[in-house]
Amino acid sequence: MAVERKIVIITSDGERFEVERKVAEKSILIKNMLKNLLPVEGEEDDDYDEDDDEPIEVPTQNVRSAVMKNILHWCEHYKDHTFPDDEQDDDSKKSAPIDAWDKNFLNVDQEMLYEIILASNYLNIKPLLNSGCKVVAEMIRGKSPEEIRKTFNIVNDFTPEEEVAIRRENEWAEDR
Amino acid sequence: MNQQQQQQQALNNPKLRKIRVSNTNGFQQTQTQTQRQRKSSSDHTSDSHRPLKRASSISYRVNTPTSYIINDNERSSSFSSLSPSTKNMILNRKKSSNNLAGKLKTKFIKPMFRSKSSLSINDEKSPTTTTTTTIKKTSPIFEIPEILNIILRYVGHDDYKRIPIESAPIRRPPMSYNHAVLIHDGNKQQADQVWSRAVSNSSEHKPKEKHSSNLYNCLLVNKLWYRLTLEKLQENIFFESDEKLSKYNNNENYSQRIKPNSIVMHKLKKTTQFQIDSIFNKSSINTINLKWLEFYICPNLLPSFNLFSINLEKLIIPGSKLLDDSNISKIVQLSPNLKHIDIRACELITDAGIYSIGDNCQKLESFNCGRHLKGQLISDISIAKVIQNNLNLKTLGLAGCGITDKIIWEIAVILGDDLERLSLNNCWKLGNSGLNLTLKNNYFKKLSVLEIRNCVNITEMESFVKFKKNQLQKGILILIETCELLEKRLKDFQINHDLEITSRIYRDVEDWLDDSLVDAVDDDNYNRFLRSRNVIAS
Repeated sequence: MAVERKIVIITSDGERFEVERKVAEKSILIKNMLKNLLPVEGEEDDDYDEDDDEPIEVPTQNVRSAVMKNILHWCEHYKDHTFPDDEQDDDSKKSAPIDAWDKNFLNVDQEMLYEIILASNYLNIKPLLNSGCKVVAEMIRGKSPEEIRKTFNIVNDFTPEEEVAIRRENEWAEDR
Repeated sequence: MNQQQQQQQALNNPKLRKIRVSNTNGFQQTQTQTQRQRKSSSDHTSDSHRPLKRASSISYRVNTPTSYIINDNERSSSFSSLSPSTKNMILNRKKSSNNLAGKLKTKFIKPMFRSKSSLSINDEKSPTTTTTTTIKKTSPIFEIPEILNIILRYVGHDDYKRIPIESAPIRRPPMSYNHAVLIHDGNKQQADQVWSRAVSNSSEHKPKEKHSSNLYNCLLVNKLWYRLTLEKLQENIFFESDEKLSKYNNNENYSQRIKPNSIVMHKLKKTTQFQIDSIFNKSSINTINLKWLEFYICPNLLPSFNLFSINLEKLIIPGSKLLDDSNISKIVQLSPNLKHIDIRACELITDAGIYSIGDNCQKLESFNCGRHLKGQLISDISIAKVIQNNLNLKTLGLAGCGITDKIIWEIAVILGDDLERLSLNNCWKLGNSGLNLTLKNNYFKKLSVLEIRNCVNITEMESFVKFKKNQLQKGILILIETCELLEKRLKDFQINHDLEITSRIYRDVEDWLDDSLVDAVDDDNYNRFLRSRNVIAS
């Protein structure tokens, strides 16, 4: 039986990370990529011979190594964990608090948090994306619009008239 | 205002010049950069300028903070275009330049200016630290609708919990003090508590979710946020005050289509049907996601008919004075996939309406048509139709209906395996041949709540007590809600029953003891035991 082929993830700044297949497959993007490249495990194909020792290289252009290191740490932690299907988006899941391990894991500076969210979106790692968004949502809650803009450096593109109109139109939603 | 002017201004300020001087004295490298910076003040692409720019802006900041911020933004835009590694370098340098400011303060400034001036320097330190956190550009995560959408979903996650909902008591409050005492097996203290609670407020009030403006605040951040947040807000449309609803009504210029998941009106007394229709009777409402439609105790309101789609699962209209047979039969034709129907106290509804529900719906999991008045309008015939067509029913509320023991058998045979809650309060026609016999014959395997308040014609309690025991043995906690009269009957029977069992046990033990005395003569061990006892005694 052939040894499982190694997977090497190459980041935007050229760093190489060698990982187990199941770790890499936490990313649906990589999983789908590998599906096309590799036969299904267990269904060994004899046509592969010397090629088998060659690691498979997966380039990820949008992720730099510092972020990838974090992401792979997360994938490693959850490598044996199967997440429930995300499609079932019921409200009990919505209100579930952030997983304690994830919370600790995401206790990084804002810039890194954003990059992790961005990368998990690009790599299609839904549970990580959700946890990251939950952390950001917690930062938003209880803040005024001005405070939100300030915290996240968002430019206000409303004219004062528009702002007044929005306030008036949406009074029903205030403090509900 | 350009860099040179800023620096010039900074140098003109004698106090600041001092800082700058000490700065250059202490850090030679920074000074050379100062010179370079002066030559090409507008060129920001090289990171070697950063620390100096920071130093100059620190000194400058004391005079005109607003232009400092502009300067800061300008920096951040060029900052983001840099490669990540350079960014890191810059950030590190920034830290060191902060340290530098700190060192300066302790080494040079403090001894020189004691009171007032050192204070102003102190004041300066806090804005510096806050600006370093806001120095970054907007992260793309706030500009990608997909991600922002997830974030806003979590911001509004507790919006769902704020939907007004009838608080379902775990136990109904007792009907009298004696009833309370009976329920609590004579524990007066507990009974006192429960009864006083029942008197002060008819139902236990759980603390209501605090109101929130989290999503409202997100509306006002910018245009993208507005668009996405408005979608979120309109997912669950709920009102528990007439005033708020009228504000919603005023808002005519929502150009986008509303796609609600739930629409809940809670105890709206002054709102008119015209208002409701002008909000909901519009083609701009997309009902594809609408699963939950509730008009809870809004006696004079009916949901607009265009809200009923094939996807609707939950219809809750208790206490409507308008809902009649023709309305409900039209509704169930539009929404045959309903899983939950609650039409408690809709007294206009008769057998005809109930029958059409049974005729059209086949997926019901809970059905409640309990009422206090006009119970005679609902009889076995229509209820039988509902039961026969809805084999998944788990909750059935028939309180106050004119049903007989016959329908109990129907329920037992058809739904007995799955039914979990059954309410038969005030069903005056029920007697001893319905529940007693079905329970005895071990129907209702999963039943955990059975309500039989004021079913005074049920006099035999044996099967209830035994049923309770059986369910407990299977690990199912069963709650039988009764009135004072039935509770007393239940308890009396239980006591007699227990007495009988203990006396039986007592008799058995007695028999066994008698037997063992007879046997003991032959028992070797026993003889040995007697002998050893004698030895000790003597």
